[in-house]
Amino acid sequence: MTLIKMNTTRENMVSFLQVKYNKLNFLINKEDIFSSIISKTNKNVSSNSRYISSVIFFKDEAVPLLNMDAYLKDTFKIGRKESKSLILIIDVHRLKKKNREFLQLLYKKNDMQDRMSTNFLGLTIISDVKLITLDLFDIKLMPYSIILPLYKNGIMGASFDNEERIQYLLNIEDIIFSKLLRIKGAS
Amino acid sequence: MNNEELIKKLIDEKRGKAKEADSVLQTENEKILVFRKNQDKYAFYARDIKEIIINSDFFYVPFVPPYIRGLINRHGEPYTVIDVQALFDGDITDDSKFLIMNIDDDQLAIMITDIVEITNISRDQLHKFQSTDSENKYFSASFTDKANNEIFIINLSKIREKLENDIN
Repeated sequence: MTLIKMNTTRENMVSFLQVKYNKLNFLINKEDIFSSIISKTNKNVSSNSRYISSVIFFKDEAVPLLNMDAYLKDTFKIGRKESKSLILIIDVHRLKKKNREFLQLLYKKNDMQDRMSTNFLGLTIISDVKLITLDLFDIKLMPYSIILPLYKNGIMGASFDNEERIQYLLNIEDIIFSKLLRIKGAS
Repeated sequence: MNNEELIKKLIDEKRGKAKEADSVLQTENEKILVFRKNQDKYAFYARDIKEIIINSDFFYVPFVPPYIRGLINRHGEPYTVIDVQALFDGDITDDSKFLIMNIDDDQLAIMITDIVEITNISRDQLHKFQSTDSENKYFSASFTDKANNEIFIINLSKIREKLENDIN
């Protein structure tokens, strides 16, 4: 018997990056990502944030690298998974105005406004990543009782893959600005 | 489709489904499901339970109180897993059986060690608690089983109230 999904239409198909860890996956809306690169020339920088560790050069600009991999491992209690790193490039101009302004302020406070790219941010993740297309309605909102704290912290929904593993849909802009760039003293 | 459009579509879809759902029939039947969590026995009114899931993995979820142990997959929908033992006395142990609760506007599952029995209890055998009874704040009544043990019936509304207070 063939199961036909009545509400599957082309307009409901959405492309995601599927980031695979040992016991769970993460989904990132492909529209959030400008480009991805594998870089071997990261330059370490000192920082008050655990998740800001280095800078890469992309299109001749110094782009701060935020360690999304470390954040996901810390937050979701994921065991170590050895993997090469992939860098996702975020186009700053696509971010919300308040977040762009926060970034400018952060650079200014740290006297970095002339050195750091105002066009891009980089996110380090593991390289076990696939581009997949999902019917939007295969992604479910979180249960009502816990939707609020999850949404506030950049977890928009979840689906289950073919192996029945959960895959959390992440709002990476919210995670970047409420978690990864949260530095002591920064407002 | 950006993230805001994506979430709006998901919310519209969910609202549509909620409108279609039939209202739950509240029966007068006091059928009771007794379960074990670790060594302790508790019960729910059977009408509070929609389904029992066995041998299911649960997935850790952050930013919630410790008695919310994670999420399980029920037919592709995530259900919040509550560990009542962790809520009552902070004792956290993993189990792989779950009671899917019969709730219209939320998706809750209770983690249990095992089902003990499903039994019918006449109303005069129930020792009802006052809602102001702080010692038994998570229970609506109790009864004495055949082995002379006092079994406490969990008040699902109180569990949901606690959850709502802790989350908000």
